[in-house]
Amino acid sequence: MGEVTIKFWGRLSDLAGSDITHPLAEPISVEDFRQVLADKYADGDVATFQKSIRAIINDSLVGEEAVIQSGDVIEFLPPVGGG
Amino acid sequence: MRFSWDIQVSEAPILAGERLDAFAQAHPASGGIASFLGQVRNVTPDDPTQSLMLQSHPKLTHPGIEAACAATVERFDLDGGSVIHRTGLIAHGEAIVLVLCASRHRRDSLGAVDYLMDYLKTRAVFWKREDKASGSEWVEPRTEDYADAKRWETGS
Repeated sequence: MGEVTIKFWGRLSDLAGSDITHPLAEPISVEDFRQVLADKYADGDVATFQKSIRAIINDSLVGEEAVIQSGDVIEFLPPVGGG
Repeated sequence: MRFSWDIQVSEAPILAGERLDAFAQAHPASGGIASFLGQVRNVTPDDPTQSLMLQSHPKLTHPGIEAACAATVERFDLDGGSVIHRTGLIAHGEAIVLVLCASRHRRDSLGAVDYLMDYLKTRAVFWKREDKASGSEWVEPRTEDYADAKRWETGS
């Protein structure tokens, strides 16, 4: 059993904090990982982790097919905007 | 590029008057200095905004603004520029952002400030939480903000 570090930003940080450790039984795609997170943090509501929320693995912006491995740092970024 | 942008992202309060004076004095050859100051306002008078909390990303926010500034000088003929963006908890009435641009003629500095603000409102890596008496709510760019930013893609 491995684990990954998840960083949630913006409104997602209200769900579970901004920097958490999550167990990872085996490599998983970003797309499938969204459902895992929804089950754990949003009562299965995958819309909470919809695709408008960009994913970053180890400082690189990735697509849905990217695979998350044990030891990775994965970040989820809701839509941004300052000013 | 003929100059280095002054880009600051920090929790320090923005002293807009002092910064504008210093910027203008640093660009005596520029005929125009344009500025934009964004501040925390009340969106809903019945449930006043008490503060905003601006969250930035340690690796993405500053480089993103740098890239936007580089794109700005490709479009506008500037003598200097500054982007000061605050993070952390910002009280009602306090400044969130100050953008300053200097140019020989006014249209370049005015346009550059407008362009940069559209970037900051829709693409800069910040997350904004509005704290009201009734509770807190994360705020994302409005449809109008995206429409404003899209103007630069069409060149209109």
